[in-house]
Amino acid sequence: MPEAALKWRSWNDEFVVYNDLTGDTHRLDAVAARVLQELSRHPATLDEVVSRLSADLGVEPDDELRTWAATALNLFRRLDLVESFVARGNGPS
Amino acid sequence: MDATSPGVGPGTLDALAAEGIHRRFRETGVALVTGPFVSEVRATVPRFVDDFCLLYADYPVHEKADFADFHVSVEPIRGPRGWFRSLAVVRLDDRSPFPPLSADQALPMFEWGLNWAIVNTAYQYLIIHAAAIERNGRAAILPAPPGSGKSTLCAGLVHRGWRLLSDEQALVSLDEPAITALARPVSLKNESIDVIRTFAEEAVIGCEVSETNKGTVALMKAPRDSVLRKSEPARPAWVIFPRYAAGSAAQLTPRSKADTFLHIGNNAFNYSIHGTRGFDALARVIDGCDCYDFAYGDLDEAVEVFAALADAS
Amino acid sequence: MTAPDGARPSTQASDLVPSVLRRPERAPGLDLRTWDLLVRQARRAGLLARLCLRLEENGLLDSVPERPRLHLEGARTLAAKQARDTRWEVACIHRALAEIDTPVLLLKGAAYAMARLPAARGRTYTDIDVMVPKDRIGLVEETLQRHGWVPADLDTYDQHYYRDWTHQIPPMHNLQRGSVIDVHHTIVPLTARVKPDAQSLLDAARPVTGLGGLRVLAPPDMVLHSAVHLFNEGEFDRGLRDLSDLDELLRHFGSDSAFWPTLVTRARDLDLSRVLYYALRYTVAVLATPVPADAIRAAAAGQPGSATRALMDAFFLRALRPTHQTARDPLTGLALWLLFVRSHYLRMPLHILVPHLVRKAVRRRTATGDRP
Repeated sequence: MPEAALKWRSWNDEFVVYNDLTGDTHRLDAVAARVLQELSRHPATLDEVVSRLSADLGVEPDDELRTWAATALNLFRRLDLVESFVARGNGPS
Repeated sequence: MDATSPGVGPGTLDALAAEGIHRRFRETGVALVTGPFVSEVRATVPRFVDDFCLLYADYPVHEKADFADFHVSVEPIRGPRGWFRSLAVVRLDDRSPFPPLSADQALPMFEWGLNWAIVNTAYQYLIIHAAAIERNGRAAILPAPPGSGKSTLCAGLVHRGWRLLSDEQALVSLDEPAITALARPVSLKNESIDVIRTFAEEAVIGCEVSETNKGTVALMKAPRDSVLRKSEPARPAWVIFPRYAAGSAAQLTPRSKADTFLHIGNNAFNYSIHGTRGFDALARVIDGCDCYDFAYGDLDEAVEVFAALADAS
Repeated sequence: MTAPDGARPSTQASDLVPSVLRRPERAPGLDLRTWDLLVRQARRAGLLARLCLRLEENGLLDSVPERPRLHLEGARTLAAKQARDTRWEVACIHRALAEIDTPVLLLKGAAYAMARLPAARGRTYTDIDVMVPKDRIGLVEETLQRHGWVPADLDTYDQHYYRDWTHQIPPMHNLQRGSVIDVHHTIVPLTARVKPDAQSLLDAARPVTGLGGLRVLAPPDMVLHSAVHLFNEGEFDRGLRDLSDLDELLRHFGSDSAFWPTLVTRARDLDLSRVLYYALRYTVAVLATPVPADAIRAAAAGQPGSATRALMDAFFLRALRPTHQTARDPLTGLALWLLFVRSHYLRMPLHILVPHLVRKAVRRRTATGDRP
């Protein structure tokens, strides 16, 4: 599968992103946008995303955070915003 | 000099001979200039020609059509056996995008037909589904779904110090923050027709047609000033989502820019055609605009709020 | 390269679009009234974007007057969008069908796009056409359905027509993206009198870089497929555009001199010599395609008798004009009808043909409104 080419704009900590591959435009809040931006630079596993989020936000890497991250990553994948994320922690593809 | 400006070379529609106007529409057609577009218009429906000449009196026309962007014809057709009312059909270069309707709806059909033609060919613009008005060089974009009172508000404001850019299709430049004026008739429905008649006695409202699938529809002539000044620039400064509710006090509430971006993109006529360029153009608009929701119940109050917006900053 | 006898098109409104495609340097000299006609005809023919690109690559676009130029550039914008959509659509199809073991052959526009051929530029795209082996059709249909494509809503007669008589299953459309895929299992209908060997086409197919499992036809086969579609299927809504595609393919592949003898041989092996004859005859006549004299001579082996040839000239030269009313003459309607009947004769045995034509005629008459 070809890689998505993403374009970003933001106002007041809210983000819109354009996916040149699909032609779709999406709106994201600051945390989701941060995750997506990082993923598009360096593919990562769910565990890696959770631990980085936990560090950045200063929260515990608990089940709630993990669930949120998994949902977000699945959504990105379904929307073809990231291709190389692997849900089961098998390392970047 | 712009060959589509009024007063330069071509005259206006009302300057064409009143005698023989019907024959002219029937035989050679009339090359009408609306905003940046030239339409060759032919018609053999007499009532349509009269309504058309009322609403488009101030618009430049070319003596002879050379290159026209659109070729629109309005013709009667016979209904199926047993159907007594006469029907008319609008054709764009010989193909009809809509089914025929009763002949008294010919002018609304012409407007829909021209809208359709613009949306399907004018890819030099990002076309937003919104009204747009201008004051002091700055433009307010008013996106809104049907029934939100956008057209009524637009019709009112252009009789109170604002210039009409467009009622339905805001033509946004792809390279800079600018809106190009179309200045075509404003479409009013049901109660709005009387509201505007009362609010602006000088407004010219023609061609009231009842029993369309949208209720009673009428077209309001664009103020002459808006037509004359169509080439003046307009830089987007506000995006305002109107919502009319009887008894509502006029109130502007700031609105998320990102939400506004997505709403406009989803409802635009050709956002997705432009790809990255469309994204950049829309972002440029949002960058330069304050975004609001606007609740109102009274046109005079609305006028004041808009005037205050224009005077501030 | 002069046109063959009797196949010289008339120079007037009906030849406007081809003449500018043949000689783009004519464009700056055209007056606005002619531009008005040219833009309308080219748009209706699906060639406005290609015309824009042809002028651009010859450094002539800037000399086009502003108002027609905006239309040309607008068409180019739309074509670019459709090309992006097509590439994405092919990627999605690839992803879905990668689950099963089947070669997938891209046809027509999608093939040109993925093989990055000049024929892809300025083209408008609608459905994606693919070909798979006959014994995989059921599996492909089922896999596509699992990935969000649904079969078209057709009545029993049409389902029967598609599955039993044509070379494809009914079109499927993707719920999420609104796109349509046509899955074929050979390049001509099952009941056709002339049946090229589908396996042979698959064997000669080339892979698409980066999308394993996807293939495109070998160059001679691509030309022959395009020609069969144009000259035997009786649909000329996009006649001039399809002829222009052929012209682009022939110019591109023909720059290798070894291509021409291969093309002629392949046509003979696939029993498509007649179709090749027409392809070369009319691309040369209408679009001045630089076909070597040797190839023309060799392809003459496929020509019909002189009476038929004269008749086909009269029909095809009309059918291959833009469908805009300003490019027609009083005989155009008749020519189109006769070619339509001929195509069904080529596709179907006579005892099926007549009831089918009657049914098609009835359905056209009961459709409401003009076509857009």
